[in-house]
This record gives sequence, C-alpha cells and structure tokens, in this order.
Amino acid sequence: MSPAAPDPRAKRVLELLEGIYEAQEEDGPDIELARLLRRFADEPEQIAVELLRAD
Amino acid sequence: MSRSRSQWSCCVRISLTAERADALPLLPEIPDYPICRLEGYNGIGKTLSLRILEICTGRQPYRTKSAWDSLRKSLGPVTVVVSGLAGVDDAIEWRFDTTTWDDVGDAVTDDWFDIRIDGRSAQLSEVQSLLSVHRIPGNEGLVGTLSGQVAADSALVKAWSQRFAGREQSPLASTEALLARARELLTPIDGPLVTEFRKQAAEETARADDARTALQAAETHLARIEEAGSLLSRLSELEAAGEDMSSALLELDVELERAEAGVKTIREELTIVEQRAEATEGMRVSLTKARGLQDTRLKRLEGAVEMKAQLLREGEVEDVAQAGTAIPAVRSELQRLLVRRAAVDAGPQMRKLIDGLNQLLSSAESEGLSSQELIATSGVTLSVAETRDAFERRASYLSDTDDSEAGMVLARRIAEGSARLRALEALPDHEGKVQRARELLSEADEQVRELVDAVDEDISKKAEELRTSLREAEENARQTALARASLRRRQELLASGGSAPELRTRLDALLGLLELSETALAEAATEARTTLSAKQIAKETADHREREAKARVDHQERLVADAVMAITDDEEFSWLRYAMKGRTPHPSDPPDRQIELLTLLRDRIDSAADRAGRFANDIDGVWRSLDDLATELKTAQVGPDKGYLSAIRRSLGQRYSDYFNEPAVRTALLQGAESAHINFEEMTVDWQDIHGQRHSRPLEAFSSGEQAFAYTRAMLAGLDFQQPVPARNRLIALDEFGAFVARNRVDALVAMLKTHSTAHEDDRILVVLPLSENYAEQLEANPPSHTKPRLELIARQLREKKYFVEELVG
Repeated sequence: MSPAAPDPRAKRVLELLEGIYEAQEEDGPDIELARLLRRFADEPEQIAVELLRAD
Repeated sequence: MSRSRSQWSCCVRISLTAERADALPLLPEIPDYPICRLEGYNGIGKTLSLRILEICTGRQPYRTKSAWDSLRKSLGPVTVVVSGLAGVDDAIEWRFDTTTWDDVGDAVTDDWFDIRIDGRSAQLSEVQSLLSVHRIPGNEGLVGTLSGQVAADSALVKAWSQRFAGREQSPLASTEALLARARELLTPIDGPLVTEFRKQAAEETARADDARTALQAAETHLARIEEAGSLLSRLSELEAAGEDMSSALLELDVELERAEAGVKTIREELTIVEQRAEATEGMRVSLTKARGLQDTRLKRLEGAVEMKAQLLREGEVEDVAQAGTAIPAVRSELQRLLVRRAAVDAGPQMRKLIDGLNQLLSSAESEGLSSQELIATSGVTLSVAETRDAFERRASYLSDTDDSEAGMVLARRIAEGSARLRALEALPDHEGKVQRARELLSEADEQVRELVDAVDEDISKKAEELRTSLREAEENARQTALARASLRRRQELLASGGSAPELRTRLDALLGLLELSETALAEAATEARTTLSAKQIAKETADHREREAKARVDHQERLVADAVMAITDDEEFSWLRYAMKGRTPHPSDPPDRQIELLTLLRDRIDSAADRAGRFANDIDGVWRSLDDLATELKTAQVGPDKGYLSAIRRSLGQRYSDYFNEPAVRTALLQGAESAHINFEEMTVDWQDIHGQRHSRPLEAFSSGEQAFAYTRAMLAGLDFQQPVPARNRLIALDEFGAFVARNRVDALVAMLKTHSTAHEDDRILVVLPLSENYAEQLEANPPSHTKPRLELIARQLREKKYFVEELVG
C-alpha cells in the first residue's frame, strides 16, 4: 500500500509529542527517536546506528 | 488562482450514485451556490454524502471501527462525479466499492478507487491538488468536539505506535532485535572477571611452583635419608664381619694356590704318560689333535666358570638358585627407582625437547603466525606465541630444578640396580653354557683316553687314573676359586664407595645435613615417605588448580576473540562497525584493548536498547493519557495526574485556546477579550477583558450555539493551515447546524461566512440543516406574495428529493 501523499498523521503525532515534551517539566517522550523511526522505518540498521552514535 | 463566483454558481455539480438497491441513501445531487443552505429530512444521507466526499479527496472522517465497518458493508459500489471545477475541463470521476476498503486506522490510498480526471486515469494526489472537502460538524458541543479530537489524537498515536513501535514487526522491534543480537554477542564479555581470572591464574601458578619445589625438597630429603640408611647398613656389616672375611679370604687364597699346584702336577704327569702312549706313530697325529681340542675346551670351561663367578658377584648371590629368587625383588626396586627418577630427572630431556619446539615456534612467529590458534583441547586454547611463552616458562623452571642431589643419587642407584638385574637374568643361561663346556671337555678327554688306550693298556690305565685325579683336582680348584670370588664380592660390596672410615665420614656428613642421629634414621625415613606422598598429592592438586585457572582465563579470552572476530568480519554486524567508526576492536589489538573496546560497545548498546525499550512504554503512555483526557472532557471530571496527562492538558489546552483567540470569537463570546486560554485542569475558558478584568467560565457553560460558533470560526480560520498547498477548489460543509440556526444566530453565522467567503473566493460553503419548518403548511396558509415563489420552490424540491437547496442569506 503506497501512501497517496505525505502522511499528515505522522506529522500530527510528532506535533503532539513535541507539545508534550515542551509541557513536561521532567523527561518527556523521546522525540528524536520518534523522528528516527519515521525517517528510517525500513532501515532498522540505520536507526541502531543513530542510537549508538547519539550516546 | 481565483475564479469568479459565476463559475461556481453555473458550473460545479456534484452527484453521488450507489449501485446497490439496498445501499445506504446518498444525496443524488448537490447544486452550487457560494454560500448554500441544504435542508432536508433526516435519514436521506446528508452527512454520509459529505463523508464520502471527504474520503474521495483523501481524508478519513471515521474514527470508530463499528461505524466504519457499517459503512463498508452497507454501501458497496458507488460512482461520484464532480464537474465544473477550476483546473478541470470536464469532471473528476471516482468509482469504488466500499466493501474493499481497508480498516479504519489505515490511510486512504489510490488502491481504494478507480479515478479519472477528464476521462484519463489519475492518482489521488492529483485530486487533492484540485479539490478538498471539509466537514465541520455543528451538532457537537465544544466539549464534545474537543473530546472527540483528543480521542482521535489518541487513536492516531496508538496507530502510529503500532506501526512504528509495535512489539512485533515494527521499525522499533527490528531495531531492538539488532541491538539484542549484538548484546547477546557481548553478554559473556566481563572485563573485571577476566582480570580476576588472570590474577587467580597467577596465584595458582605460584602455588603450583611452590608445590613442585616442596615436592623436590621432599624427594631430596628422602633420598638423603635412604642413602644414609644404606651407608649405615653397609658400614655395620663391614665393621661386624670385615676381619673374619679378610682372614677367610687369605685361607682361600692359600687353598686355591695349593689346588692349582696339584692340578699342574697331575697334568704334567699325565702329559708324560700320554707322550709315552704317543710312541705308536700312527696314533701320534690324532692324539695331538685330540689334545689340542682338549686344551681348547678346557680353556672354554675355565672362561665360563670365571664368567659365572663374575655374574654371581654382580648379582650379589651365591648360586644360580638364589638368582631366580632375587630377580623379582631387584626388578621391583629398579622400577620404583625409575619412576622416582622420571619425576625428578626428566629435566634435561624436556629442556632439549622444548628448545627444539621453541625454535620452530619462533620461526613461525617471525612469519606472522603469532596469534594463530595452535592448541585447542578441553576448553583450553593457545596461540603460537602463548605456546612458546608457556614452553619458555617450563624450560626455566626445569633449569632451576634439574641439578638435584636426589637425581644424582637415584641415577647411581638405578645404574647399580640395572647391572645387578642384568647379571641375575644372565645367570640361568650362563649356567647352561658352563654345563655344555663341561660336557664338551669330557668328550675331548674321552677321545684322548681312547687314543692313548689304543697304544698301551698299562699306560692307558695309568693315564685314566691320572685323568680322574686331574678332574677331581680341577674341580676342587674351581670350587675354591668360586668360593674365593664370592667372598671377595661380598667384601667389595660391603666396602663399596670406600673403606669403613670413608663410609663413616660420608654417613656422618649426611646425618649432619639431615640433623638426625643414626637411631632416628628409620623413623625419619617413614616420616619422609609420608611427607613425600602428601607433597605429591599437594603438587597434583596444585597442578590441577593451575590448569583450571588457566582454562578459565583461556575461555574468557576465547570469548573475547570470538566476539572481536564476529564484529570484525560478520556482515551481520556491519552496521555496528559503521556506527562506531573505528572504535570497534580488531584481532590485532592487545587483549586488554579488545576488552576495553568491547565493554565500551556493550555500554553503548545497553544505553541504546534501554532508550528503545523506554520509547515503546512512553508512546503507549502518551495515547493512554490522551484517552484519559478525552474521558475527562466527556465526563467533565478531572481525574488524578498520571503518565503524561498533566503535560497533555497543558499542551492541548494551549493548542485549542486558539479556537477562542479568533477576534470574531472573542468579540461574540468573550466580551472582546484580549486573550483567552482553555484550562483543561479546571475545564474552563479563562480570559482577560479590555479593562484587565479576569474571567473564567466552565466549558460546559457555553451554549451549543456559542460552542458551534466558536468552533466553526476556529475551523474556518485553520483550514488554510491544514495542508502545505491548499487545493484549488474547496468545499466546506457546516453539517448539523440546526441548533445554531434555531437559536436565531443565523445572522451572525452568515456574517461570519460572508467574511470568510470574501477572503477566500475559491471556497464554496454548504450549510446543512435538518428540515426546520413545515413549508407545505406555510404554502397552504396563503403566504405573502414575496415569499410564495420561494415556498413553492422548496415544496417542489422536497417532494422530488426530500431536501432543498438555496442560497443562504442573512
């Protein structure tokens, strides 16, 4: 199934996470990882690479 | 690009046609006005038609599975045609079958439709650039709308979570599986444990060296005690029987000399007699040959007897019968000495062996084979370099312990024992040789006798008597010689290594070294043998512990080597090498460096895996907290803070506050407030008026008309920001606005819509209402002439289509 257009739902999810992160006084949801999962959805090796490098 | 209103009013038409007779009803046609009022009976498909149009333009309006499944099942094949749009020559046509559509959580895709634009096949993305449909529901209160939107957000996050962070078959699950595989490889690597094992191995090696040294000392100590015991025994026997033995030896010397003289006399007399017998010429030659043979065999017998005497001496026995008895005991003692000697005296041979092997290993190292595995057995593996190092340590140890006194003593005793055993084992065979030599001599004697007898009977008789005497004398001399040899051997044995004073000196020196008295020797020997056994057990135990400790180190180092090899070579871990960029270990790195890098890598992987694991829980927590907020809005009850609920209240409160921050909304509902804020903690709208006065009003206190007004205004304002590039044509449907109109706010609504329409010429607005009046009764009641045409038009449309459409005016 190919998306007809850039999925606005993913954008909305990230907006929600960003809003929560900004409102959360302590640690919020991991927005960077959410972006990685969306960006490299078909490349788990690249996600693992980014996670290792982020440390 | 904008177009004139005339284009809308004269060109755009929308038709929806379901093929199945039992399909849910749809509005067959929607005519066009800039701001259009559509009013009709309930159940004719007003809302359903708008939702179908939303789906046709790529928007999914359904949120619940039950409603979606009902639609898919109850509609079936449908054709939708929209004509007269700007940018389209003729029309856009959709053909689809709702029973083939995907689940409610899935995005709308090209697979759902057969789309044609002006007769040619087209993609949904092309449609979206030409037309968008937006349905704004007016029958939901603000609270219900907000609750529904929050619930929709929750469903969105949940679906996103399942797609990207699901426990199985998601990018996150795949990433976690990769990290877990790498972590599995590194799990056995424990740097501190390797260090501890190495320390233990060094300690066990030191203990084993101590145990070997202690065993060597115990062996030396026992050897000294046994040497002292042997010296004491020989000295005692020598001192006790030494003089008697010398006297008897002198007597035997005299007796032997006398016996040999008698033999000589008889042999000379016999020679004379036999020479007389040779007078017969014919017999002389034969007799001479016979005598030659007789002499030869006599010498052989003498030689055999002498050899027998030597073997008896070396065998330390007095006759052949004793030899048979002594052999097992001598052989057993020799075996015991050899075993002990093997334990202490293998050094030179082992050093020679190790030197040869190390030359080969050094050559291999110079050819770059240092790290290659050479030995692998029972969990122990050694490289070429490790094997050479182990050999050098062993050679060094052997050099330190090789020249032991015990070794020299044992060597001497083994040599003695071996010589004695050889003599004892040779005695039975040699006794047979003596007997054979005796028989051959007898045969020669008989031959000479017969020849002599043939010459002269008297002479023969005399010769025979002399021969008998000679044999008796010779036997007597041999027995005397044997007795003397035996006694001499015994004397030599007692005095071996020196005279009595010399033996005493050596004994005293040994006793001094041992710090023992003669009387304590026997008890000390017993104690030393016990100690030796204990040291042997201790040494074997220490050796075993050393091997085990080294095996543990080897095992850990093998795990490290395996992990390094996998990370270096396996395609499976290419991503890991890429991620660490040169900070992965290499087989050529020193072991400690390998462990350091593996530990770093493991920590990184643990950190990444922990982050990934937290994310799945966090994202679940987000949609659960969104659900909680939706419930709070629906029930108007604020629950306790948990998860992300508090943060979500603040975040969404800020987002939805924008609904009230439109100037028109603030003017109509909030007395011209300067700013407004939705407070989800209190379920209120808070604002400050132009005089600085603060106000707070519960969300539920807004009437449905007020809520619809605020919501509609906000939605209209937000349409421009919903898509990166707005569609060329937009249809905005205000659905279920009955309550709003019934409260006589239609003027405010029309004013707001006209304001919007003026600013957005390309938008077409459709206000959908349930049938609000009985138009037929109004027509029958003789309405004023200026309203009659309108009522007649409405009545005709209601009869034909069950709904009517007209331009909305204030």
